Amino acid sequence: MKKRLLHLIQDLFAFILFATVIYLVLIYLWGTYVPDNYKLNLFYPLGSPGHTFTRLNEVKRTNNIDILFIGSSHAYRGFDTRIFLKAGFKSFNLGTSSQTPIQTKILLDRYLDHLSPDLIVLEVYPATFSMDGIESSLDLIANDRNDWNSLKMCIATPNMKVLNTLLYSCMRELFDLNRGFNEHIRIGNDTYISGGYVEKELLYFKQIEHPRTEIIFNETQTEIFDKIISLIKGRSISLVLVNAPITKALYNSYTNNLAFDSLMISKGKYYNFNQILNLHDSLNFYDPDHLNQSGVEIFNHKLIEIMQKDGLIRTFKDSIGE
Amino acid sequence: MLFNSLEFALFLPIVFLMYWLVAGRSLRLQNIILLIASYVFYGWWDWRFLLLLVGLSLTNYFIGLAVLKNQPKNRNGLWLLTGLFINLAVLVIFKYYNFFIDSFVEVMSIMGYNLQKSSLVFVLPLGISFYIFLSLSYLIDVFKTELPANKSLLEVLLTLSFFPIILAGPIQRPRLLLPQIKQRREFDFALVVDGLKQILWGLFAKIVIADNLAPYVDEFFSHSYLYNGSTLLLGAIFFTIQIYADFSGYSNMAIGIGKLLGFNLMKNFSYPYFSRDITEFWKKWHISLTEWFRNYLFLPISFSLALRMNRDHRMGLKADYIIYIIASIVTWLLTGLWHGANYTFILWGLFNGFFLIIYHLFKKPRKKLLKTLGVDNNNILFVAIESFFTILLIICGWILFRSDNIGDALSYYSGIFDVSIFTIPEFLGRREALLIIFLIFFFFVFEYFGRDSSYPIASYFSGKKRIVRWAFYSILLFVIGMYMHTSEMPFIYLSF
Repeated sequence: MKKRLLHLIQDLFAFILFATVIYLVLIYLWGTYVPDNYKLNLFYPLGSPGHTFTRLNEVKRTNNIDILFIGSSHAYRGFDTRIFLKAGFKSFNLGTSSQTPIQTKILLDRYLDHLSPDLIVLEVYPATFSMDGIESSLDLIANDRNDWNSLKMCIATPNMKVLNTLLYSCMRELFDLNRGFNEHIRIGNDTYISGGYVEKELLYFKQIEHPRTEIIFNETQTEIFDKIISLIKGRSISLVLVNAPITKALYNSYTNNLAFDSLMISKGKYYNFNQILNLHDSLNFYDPDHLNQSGVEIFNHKLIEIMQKDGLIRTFKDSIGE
Repeated sequence: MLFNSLEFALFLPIVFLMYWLVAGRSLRLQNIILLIASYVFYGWWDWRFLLLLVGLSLTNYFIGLAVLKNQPKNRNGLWLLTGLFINLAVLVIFKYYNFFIDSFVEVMSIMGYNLQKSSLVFVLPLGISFYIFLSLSYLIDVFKTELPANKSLLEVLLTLSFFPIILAGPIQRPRLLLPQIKQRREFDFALVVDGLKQILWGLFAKIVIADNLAPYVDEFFSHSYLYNGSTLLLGAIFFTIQIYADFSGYSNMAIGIGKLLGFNLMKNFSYPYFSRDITEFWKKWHISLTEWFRNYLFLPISFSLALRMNRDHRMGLKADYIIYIIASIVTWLLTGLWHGANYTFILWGLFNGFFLIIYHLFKKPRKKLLKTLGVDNNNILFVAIESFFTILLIICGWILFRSDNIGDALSYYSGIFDVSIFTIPEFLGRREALLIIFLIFFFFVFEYFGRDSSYPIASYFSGKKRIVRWAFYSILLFVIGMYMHTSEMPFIYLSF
């Protein structure tokens, strides 16, 4: 019987090998030739909105910065590196669309040593703690060089779309198919600013109503968030958690903001700018989630002021001899 | 643990290897491993309900022994009745308690008495209707001496909790399963490969077809007032496909898993949507349940009525017809109720019973009419027309089955039977419409051309070169990987 079972196992291995080859060939054909509507579990957002491709290209050429901003679109649309440069800090913004702790960890594993910041401003948004992280995983897989961390991300977000996109992306890398690709600096109303920030043409927001929502924290995300905190603390890098401003209407639609605040306070230095600033939903935002340039300026100057007041920036500026 | 979950994808290979490598030569060890696996599988969801399953299985084992011991002297069936009472009481408490209490309160309120509804809400244990019916079969078959005497606790416990069938069937009668459990299973290469193919097809039906249709069905049924008649009709057709793909997918996986472990489980579906009339449909849909009700309810009621009827005619109808009508109404009322504690299920059961009776009554007149018209019974146009009306009837029935309450069902029907049924369904304007239609087409092409086999792809490419067969299975795997619905969805019949 063992002989027959062994024969089955051998056959199964041979079949798995055969099926893998067929699968890869079909993934490549589907990814390349089939229109997006007809490939349910493959999405390759190369050059997606948010300039991830350009940002991740630039980060490879950047090192030794003072401040690293990281987080969701609230980060890359909320922390203007030019304002921080004017205040005397070299910074880089590593925010990506819908970035959840899973992707934050991957990006830190990839670039933290290389960037070697003195301070990390980690943008924390309750909704990202409830997401599965698929959208952001696809964004990173398509716009960054894939490595073992991509596989780790794929395991952390077990989803066929992520796996298929990773396979397709690896094949494109293998055949160097993205060689000629260049992302425009200006896409629609967005302009990419060197340092990772994306500036939106000045727009104002027309109020809409939001249904009351309770954020339900995803266990995997909170576990990985703890690992991020340990990683940063383990490198003796200063860390600030920032809840960036969103419109009051949206903020008040979340029923458990207080619970989120207490969770973040327990993790480290935390600023909730929805409580600190009193911004105007129409004049300082261009959509429910994102500040317009006037809002960004108010927010960034306040952040610098608070961090200086709390000794966070001054402390590390002193340490580098200014 | 669900067949379409990641945990199960790890669990099954472990059980498979342990079963054949560690216990291959010992029947006892094979059964011990299967029993442990079955309890782990069931307890994964909630260990407290595992206690219920074990407790009930032990009770049935001892009652089975008592039934055996008292035969043939004591055939008054006291022990059988005790067993039936305990099993049905458990089923009623967990599944129907709230329904009966709430219905009683509603009836009383109509009569002017205001009573409080029960605040006690029972959680429905997974697969309770299935394993209770297995247990009832066991006791009845032992009583009727159709099942050989069995004193092995291990074998009986395994029969009543065998993991491939515990959650949603097939409701394999113990008289067919126990003999397989009593015999050491030999590793059969061809059977295992066949099982893997059947699992593959079941998985495709479930996670590609059923799960991709589920969001549309949910949307159309929960907001039926927003859609026009043609969209609602499409929603009903989608549910018709979803429930078939979901449940036949589950059954194929269960039977396939059985084959991996050396078991031959009964067929549960036989391409029911290609039926010509409703009787044929019910011979091909959820076969194990239909057979259960036929063997343990319909036939006993019919025999008992036949014994009591001393006249050939009553109320102008032949006694045979009256017996059929009464037995059908009772059987279908309970079949409906078996599916859930809701009036929609009861009405759905009676709807099917009614049309089965109509079909039965018109069987002979139909034959005569065909003869008079000179139309051959197998005339292709005639077959197509009959099949079309049968599927239309089935779709109408599924609307009742899927609706949350009678009111919703009525408004769904009135939404369909509206002039807007002659418009283009809104769904077709969606960007994914063509893909969904293509997937359904792909599924039914295989179902139709494979309808002579036990499952659609059973004999495709058999006799062809290995590379051709492997290429086909690889492409099917790719289709699953590319088009599966990405969030894990429970099987519809698990809620029964």
